[in-house]
Amino acid sequence: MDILTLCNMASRRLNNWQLNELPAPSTARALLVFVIMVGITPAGAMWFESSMTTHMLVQLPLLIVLGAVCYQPKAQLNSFLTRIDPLGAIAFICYTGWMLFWMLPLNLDLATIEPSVRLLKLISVPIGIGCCFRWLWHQSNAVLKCVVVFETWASVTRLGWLYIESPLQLCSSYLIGEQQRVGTLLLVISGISATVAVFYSLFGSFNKKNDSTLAKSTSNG
Amino acid sequence: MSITEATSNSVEDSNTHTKNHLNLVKLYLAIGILVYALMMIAGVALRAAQGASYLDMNPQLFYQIMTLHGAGMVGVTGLAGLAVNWYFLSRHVLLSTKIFLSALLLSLIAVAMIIGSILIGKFAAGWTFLYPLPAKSLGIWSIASAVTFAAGLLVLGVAFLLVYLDMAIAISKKYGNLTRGLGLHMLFGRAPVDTSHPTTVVASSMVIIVNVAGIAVGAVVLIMTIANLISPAIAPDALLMKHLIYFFGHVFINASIYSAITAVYEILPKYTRRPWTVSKPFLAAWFAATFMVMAVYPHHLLMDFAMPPWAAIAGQIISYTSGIPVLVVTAFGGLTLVYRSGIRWDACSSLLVLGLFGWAAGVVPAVIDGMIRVNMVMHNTLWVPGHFHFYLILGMLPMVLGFAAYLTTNGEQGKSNKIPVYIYAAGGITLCMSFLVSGSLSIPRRFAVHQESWQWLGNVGAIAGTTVLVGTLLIALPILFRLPGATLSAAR
Ligand code: HEM
Ligand SMILES: [Cu+2]
Repeated sequence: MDILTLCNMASRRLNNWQLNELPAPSTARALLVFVIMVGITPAGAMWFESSMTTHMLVQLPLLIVLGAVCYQPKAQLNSFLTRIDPLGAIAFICYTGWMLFWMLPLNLDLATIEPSVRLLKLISVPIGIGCCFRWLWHQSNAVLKCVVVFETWASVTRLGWLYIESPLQLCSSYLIGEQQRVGTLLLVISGISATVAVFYSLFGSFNKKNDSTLAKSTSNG
Repeated sequence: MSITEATSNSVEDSNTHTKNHLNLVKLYLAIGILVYALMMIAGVALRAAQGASYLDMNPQLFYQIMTLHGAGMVGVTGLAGLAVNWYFLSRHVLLSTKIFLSALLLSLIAVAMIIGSILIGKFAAGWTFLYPLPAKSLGIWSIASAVTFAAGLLVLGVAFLLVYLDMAIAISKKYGNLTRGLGLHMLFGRAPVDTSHPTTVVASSMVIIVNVAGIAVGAVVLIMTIANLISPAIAPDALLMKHLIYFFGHVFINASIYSAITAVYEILPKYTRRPWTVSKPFLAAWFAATFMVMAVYPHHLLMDFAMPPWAAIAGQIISYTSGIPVLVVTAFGGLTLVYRSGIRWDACSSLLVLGLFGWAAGVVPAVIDGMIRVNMVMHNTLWVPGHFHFYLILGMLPMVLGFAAYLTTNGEQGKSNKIPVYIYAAGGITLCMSFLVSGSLSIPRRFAVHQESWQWLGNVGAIAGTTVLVGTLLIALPILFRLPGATLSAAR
């Protein structure tokens, strides 16, 4: 067996990985509520926010992923959303906006001090980032999807590098050593995800089974 | 609805569809040719300023114009290459006109930002925005103008990214994935070589892979540049920045010629009435080039003593061999195609063959400069502009103009005048020689003011540059007038 066949097999596995392999929305919803509750209680907040690593690389991703997984609008809401945002453009703006907002050290800082900002974080991250991402993914064509992935990757990379490079302590709650550790971790994440993306786009077998997911792609003018 | 109705409808649909394709390509070409002419005027002004006989330019303005000429030429070369590539690729796969149009609009926004930052903001750090120069203007340009320049490049990157993603998805949908577009299953796998696999798809797959990688790096490094401009305390490692900037810049400008080469692959066979099909050497060459184009940028870092020697040596070896595989396959393929074929020489065919020649010959000075011993002396002399003007004026641009000539004669052969091509080529060779001779006399590049003993070369260059401009206009004006009547459809 040659290397191309191997790559193709592995990426076919990646292609066949369907959304229904995710946990059911109800489970995710229960988990999300749990994570939010823990995030509110003083002890839980202490644990999540005590280090920058758990705050940025555990709590926020948990909230985003659970928000995206549990998102399943009722028919009424669905048709309303389809009417106001058929292309996913509003969701795109919302998604990038909240991502940027929570990438600013100042806001992350405030969330550790100010209970109202903490609450804002616990609500806006799953909805503004997680759910919006899911809607956007559902509505948009393949090119826009790729742009979103690309931009998200680029932002993680930039942020990681900035955290490492900045001689200033960007958050008042976290020391500079911790900031640099988070930066390094972000770059590791960026490296791994770039490898996966390159592998997938080079060897993925798109015209086989995956046609249905790409069917809505490329609005041909 | 009856079946006939349905089919006639869809035929009509596909007619307007292909018409939109063609109109967009025409728009790209018309804008491209105009920008080329304008930027050539800027280039002539630069060379004349170095000659100091015909023009007296204050150095500050020189560096502004040099930045404009560099950024403008690189940008328009990218766009023109993209247009050629897109036109031929849309014969094989389904591409979105909406995305192609949005890319043009985004590029125009980017161009406005870049021109504004240079002409209004006085930004003059060169199109390579080599860190940390943009932040060290000594008060000549403002931080805001440097940020605008970098942001303009960022927008330009997004414009190209959109089209490349669309192309990548379309190729993946038809052929399975990008490596299949590149033909690797035929090169390494058990599949026999399928001669109906389009050469354009192979070239496009390679261009997509390298340019998306380049744009990804550019998207990061430009933001780091902007971060440093806004907050100087954030000072990334200069050598790392240089690596990334040249990876981005080199890949981008290099890929443009690999995009434009599709015109040679698709049009020349029509003139010689012999097919140009994929073969194992062809696929192997393009496969090798995919890596090499991404690995050659270290020739810009041969003088950086902080680089470990092995890296410099690897950079030298790869630079040495980088252009070779595709070049050999293409030049050889072109020669066997043309030899005793009874080809008709008109503007289109002679431009395409000139393009092949310019590309092949342009490699020679590049390889010479890629040797570390030579680079010690030649680095940052006019030898470098000599080699890339050779590629671009005698290789890349003729391919684009040849393509435009093909479109405007609607594929009819022998209809276009080839005299302007001779004027163009003569001017181009003389201009490049004026650079190369200057380089071998160790005259530095990017100097606004030249010593008296160097100035005659500047004057020769200015006259030769004017000849190039005249040749371009003589070739391009009939094209521009006839372009609206072109009917050769792009899409299938
Ligand atoms: C009439 C034709 C042209 C003339 C007279 C001309 C002249 C010049 C001159 C005098 C320079 C500055 C050299 C130095 O001292 O470093 C220059 C730089 C440059 N030119 Fe041209 N040029 C012409 C056409 C082109 C074309 C067709 C392209 C690309 C497609 C191009 C791309 C560039 C680039 C990228 C630079 C580098 C700018 C920098 O160093 O930052 N030029 N040109
Ligand atoms: Cu280079």
